[in-house]
Amino acid sequence: MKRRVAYFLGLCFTLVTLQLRAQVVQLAAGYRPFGQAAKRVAFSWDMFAVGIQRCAVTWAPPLSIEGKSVARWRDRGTYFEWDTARSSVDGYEQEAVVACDYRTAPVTTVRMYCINSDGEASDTWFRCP
Amino acid sequence: MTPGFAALETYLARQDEDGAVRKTRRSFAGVWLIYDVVDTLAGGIEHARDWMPHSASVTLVATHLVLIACGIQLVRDRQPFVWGLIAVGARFVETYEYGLNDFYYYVLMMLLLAHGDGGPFEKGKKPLWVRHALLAQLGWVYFATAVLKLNADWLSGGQLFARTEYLVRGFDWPYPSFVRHAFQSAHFCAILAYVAVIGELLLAFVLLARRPYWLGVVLVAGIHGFAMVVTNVWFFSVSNIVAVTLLLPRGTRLSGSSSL
Repeated sequence: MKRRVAYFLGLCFTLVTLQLRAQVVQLAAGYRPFGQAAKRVAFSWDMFAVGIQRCAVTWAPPLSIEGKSVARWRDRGTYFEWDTARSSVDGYEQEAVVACDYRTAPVTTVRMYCINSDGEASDTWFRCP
Repeated sequence: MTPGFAALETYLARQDEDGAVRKTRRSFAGVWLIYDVVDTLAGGIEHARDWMPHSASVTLVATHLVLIACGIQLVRDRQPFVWGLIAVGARFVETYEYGLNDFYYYVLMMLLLAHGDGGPFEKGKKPLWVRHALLAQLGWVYFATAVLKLNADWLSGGQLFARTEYLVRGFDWPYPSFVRHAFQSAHFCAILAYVAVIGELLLAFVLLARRPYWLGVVLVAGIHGFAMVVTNVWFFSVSNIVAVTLLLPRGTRLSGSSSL
């Protein structure tokens, strides 16, 4: 009986400490209700609370990667659930440029339509270097 | 023995009468088993880790195989404490390959679900504290996520705008035109964002109060039905709907019996 009580208290202590610590880390990182947005912190349950940047990237003409035609970022990945999103516009741009190694034509144009959670959108084109 | 200790012992000995934790564990494990099988076959996390061509992570493949084995055993209800803890460990390893809130959520939920038959000290029991702990854990998740959404980024509707526009532009998400048009309105997105926070806070209180059942089910179905269609979050959504629907007591109070 004593072992069961000790075990229960230990389990509760672990779960509570883990999750309260995550909130303390959020506060230490600057999060304030109605103020600065949250950061990514494990076990803090920051779903949709962290600022995001997303881009829809296309290549014209399409790249050829691992034998498959890739005209759009989403062509490598799944349609549902698993998102190959990067955390920043810079992240998309770096990979978009590296992916130019798989071009199928000497002149390939990359288009990046990017949106962030501040509500801003941008639409840019550039040629593969 | 102090009165507090004796009361705690009595509480820990109370048994749940309707076996909700066992049903939840099997259903929850089933949802995540499908997730792991599809993920393994489609390379979901593998591609999310690195978009460019690369060799597969041996750790991730091994983790998926362990998770699938655990999922099968948990659905079959074989040694849930052992397989549940192995699944917790494997999922935790997976968070090092790719940190997702969905995985952290699985870790804590499965850790508690694994105790549903009595944990390390008993077998074939239905301790009521496990159900209480799961409801409290779910309540905390909804409360914390609602509070963390109290920032301009979410409340302005910017998150919903960005996520829906990304799905339209990047995935040709088939929103009806009036829905897409609505999501391009900052005002509409902001209203939805406030509604979502209020809904999550309300659901947190329902889970902590363990009543009323109908409101909990309406809220969890509404919140996660919205999340599935609007934000492309499917398995986490279904596992939450399963957990809340099965764990919330259907009567006015959660009944239990003592077997001291």
